[in-house]
Order: sequence, then C-alpha cells, then structure tokens
Amino acid sequence: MSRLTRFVKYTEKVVRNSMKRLLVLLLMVVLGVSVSAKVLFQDTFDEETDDWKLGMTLEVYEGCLNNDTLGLSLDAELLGEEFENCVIAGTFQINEWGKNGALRILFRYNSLFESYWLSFWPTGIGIHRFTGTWESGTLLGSNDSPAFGALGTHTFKIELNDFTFKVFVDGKEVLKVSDSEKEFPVGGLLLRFDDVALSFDEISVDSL
Amino acid sequence: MKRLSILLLILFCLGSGSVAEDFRLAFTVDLMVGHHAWFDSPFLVHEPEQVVKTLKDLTGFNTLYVFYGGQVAPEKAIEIFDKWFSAGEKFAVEIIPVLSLINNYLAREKPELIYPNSGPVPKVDLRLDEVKKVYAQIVREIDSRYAPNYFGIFEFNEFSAASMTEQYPRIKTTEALEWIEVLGSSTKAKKAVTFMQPWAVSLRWVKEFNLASLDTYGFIRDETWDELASYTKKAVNVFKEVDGDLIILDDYGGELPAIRQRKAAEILRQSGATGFNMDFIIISHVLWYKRNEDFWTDLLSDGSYDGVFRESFNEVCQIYRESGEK
Repeated sequence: MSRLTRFVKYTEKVVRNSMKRLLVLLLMVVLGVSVSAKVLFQDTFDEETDDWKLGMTLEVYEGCLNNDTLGLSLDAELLGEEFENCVIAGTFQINEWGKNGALRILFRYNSLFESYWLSFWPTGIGIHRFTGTWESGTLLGSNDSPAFGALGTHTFKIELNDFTFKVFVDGKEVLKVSDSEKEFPVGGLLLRFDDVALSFDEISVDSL
Repeated sequence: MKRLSILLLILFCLGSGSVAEDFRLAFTVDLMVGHHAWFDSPFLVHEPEQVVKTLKDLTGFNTLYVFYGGQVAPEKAIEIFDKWFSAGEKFAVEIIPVLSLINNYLAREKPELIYPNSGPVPKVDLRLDEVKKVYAQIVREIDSRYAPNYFGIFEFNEFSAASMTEQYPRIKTTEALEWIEVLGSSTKAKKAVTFMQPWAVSLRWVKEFNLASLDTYGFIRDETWDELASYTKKAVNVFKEVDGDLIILDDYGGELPAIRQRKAAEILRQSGATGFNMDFIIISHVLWYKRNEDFWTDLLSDGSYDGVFRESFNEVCQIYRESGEK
C-alpha cells in the first residue's frame, strides 16, 4: 500500500470518525433537548397574579404567599392548569401550627375530594387518595418524622410518574407510594392551609 | 420657690389628667341617618344635631363613626358632614368620617367606575385612577374643613366576602395598600378601620391602621367568649386603639339578650379594648326590614327607644353611662 493510499484511507477514517462523532453529538443534543425538564408553571410570588384563586386571608406580599391566620382552612387554587406526569417542587416556611394544623398539597386535583393529598403535619407526612367524600380518604403511605414539619424553611418535591409518587423533603427522598386503583391520571394543583401559619416562597411544576 | 414648685406640680398633674385619653364610647351611623345597610337613602332623614344630642343625653358617648357610602354626590356629602362635625363640636363628640366602597351615586352617574361584577351592592373599583381621585378629594375636603383626628375606612368586607360569594373581584393586598396610601396621604388624620372582621386581624394591609373597631357579631351571637377574648387580645397587639361592637340583634331580627352585651363589654375591657361601639346602621336596617320598626323615629321622638329590642339597647346605654363615670 503506497503512502498516498494510506494517507487517503487515513483521511477517509478521520472524516468518517468525525462524521460519526458529529452525528453522535447531534443525537445527544436532540436527545438532551427532548429529555430536559420543561417548565410547565412557576411562581415566585413577587406579585399577586390572577393565576391563583386565593382564600380570604391568603395574601401575596414581600415575595411570598402568606397566611398568618390560624383556625381556618384556606385554599390557593391554581387556575386553568392541568398536569399529568410532572415534578411539583417548592419552598415554604412553617411559622406556627394550630391545634389541627396541616399543610396540604393537592395534586392531580379535580375537586377537593377527588384528588391526591400530600400532607405535612407536625409529626410527619402522608399521601391520601380521595374519591368523592372525606370518608373515602385512603392513606397510600406515610412517614413519621417531626423533622418534616419542624418550624422553619423546607423544600419539597413530588415526582408524579404515572401512578407512582415519590416525595423529597429538604433534598432527601422520604416517601414512595403507588395508587393501585389508578384513580386520577391528570388534574390541577391546590395548596391548602389548614390551621397553619405558613408562607410559600416559590412553587414550580416541571415536566418529568 | 417651694410654693412655685408645688404650683407647677399641681399644674402638671392637672395637665396630664386633661390629656389622658377617655375610654371610647362610640356609635356608628349612616351619613343620612337612613335605615338601609347599603346606604340607599339619598336624603337626610333626621338632623345630625338631634341625633348627637339625643345620644349624648342618653349615654354620654364621645365618638361617632359617620359612614359615607355613596348616598349622594361627594360635594353634597361634604355639606352633610358639616352638620355632623358642627354637632360633634357642640356636644363634645369626636366625629370619625368613614368611607365605604359602596357607592349608589356613582353607580347611577358613572357606572364605569363600579366593579363589573360587584353583585347587588355596587362598589367602586378602587384600582381606577378616577375612583382614587374622587375619594382622595373627599378626604382632602373633609380634612381641610374639619381636621378630624381619625379618618376611617370601612373594612373591605368585600375583601373577604368577595372570595366567598364570588360576586366581587378579590382586592389584592397591593391594591388595598395603594388605596390606603392614596386616602392616607390626603389627610393628616390617623387611620381607622371598621368593622374589622375577625379573620382580618393578621392581614398585612390592616396593619396600616391605628384604630380598629371590631366586628364581634359572631362571638356575641354564639356566646363564644374565649374566642372574643382571643380576638380582642390579638387586635390590641396590632392597633393602638381597639373598640368592639356591642351588637344587640342578629341578622334575622332576633334579639341578643342584654346579659350578652354586659358579658361582651366585660371581656372587651379585660382583654385590653380601649372602647365600645354600637352599629346603628345594622340595627336600623334589621328593625326596618325584619320588624317593621323605625328605630330612628322611635329614638328621636322622645329620646328613648321603646321597640322590641329595648332591653338590650338600654343595657348598652347603661354600660356606656357607667363607663363614662369611671
């Protein structure tokens, strides 16, 4: 094989490899774009918008959604949005628990008692499924730890993958449950302040 | 020198006694002395001087909240306020003008200033510049003519009722704060809020006020005395002055027995309230529409109210007289 032939073959290999690399790179970019999470909704509560329907003592000021009143059940309903598989995440600060205190994050919300409830209590967290009435509530799973409901700031994340729900609190996975009944594949989002003084700094919903 | 010192000491004691604030013994009236809670009397039904004199003779009261709810045009309202302030001066009664968002006059004359979905009771859209201008002008006029110590804003019952009835757009915190700023910057008076709902005590925007008149209706109706005490104590921690309504009837025309006003007065005092109030707007409304009674004519004709709720009414008058003597 002459030097010239070897040079040509080498050049062809380099070109072929470069093309391959380019193709792989392009493929990675395409895949990367398609698999990276897409922001479906986000609110940092810098100002009160019409995105939410707020209960009477819920207020947006100083960059937070605030409730300072104990003894009431107050809802912040996200209007006109529905989500399937997604990641709901946020940061909140618990200032005071009332006697019956609970923070609820109702996901795949169709109505108050047609949805899943992630609840934070002073003693831990749990996920319920409601199918029409209060009595229909079924506890899908819970994790008792006062750390989750301790006064102060917490982050949370719920990954909704079909009917398996993973909950992360303060960066750690703390609960994983599945709904064998596969009741609600889609629905909105509602934050419920039950007898708790609390402020939300931010909340977001990303695609899974 | 010794005599001079004693004299100065006596003068100092006398002086400090005279500036000490009295326990506030207040009533709340419609500017027109009408009998409709939504202020639909477009003319003055009774003379302010007669109202103030009668109540003074009966109770020795010292404060009157007078509500403008758009009964007449703003210029006309200011003329009528003149009668109230004159009567107040004559009988040593502090007049607190109060503005409501309810405005039947603007609903007729400038409907574009009314919230499109404000339901059966027309309320001005406080987000609009023209509304701010009209109301700021009312405040400025009253301030320049009468220099009231306090200027009142009707608690945005709308604020809370809005989200419950869905008949009215929610007033956002920033909008409420802006409204208070617009009105507050048009007067040198301190700010009062009335009748403040129990759930409002923790709201950001009510913290702008120096004086709150508490809506105590549910507690007196249900005799939930611990809750009344708790609510009053919370309010006392937020506001410099707090008075509470000694309401005598329920919304449906039933009497709240006299013993309850006595109990409520005791709890309000023990919890740190600095005054009492009694809402004649709701009393005259309920009596007119549920009991076919004309409260004001009854009271003003001979200086005493002799109608179906006289026992509770007289008890409150007695509480006022006793408080005035302390």
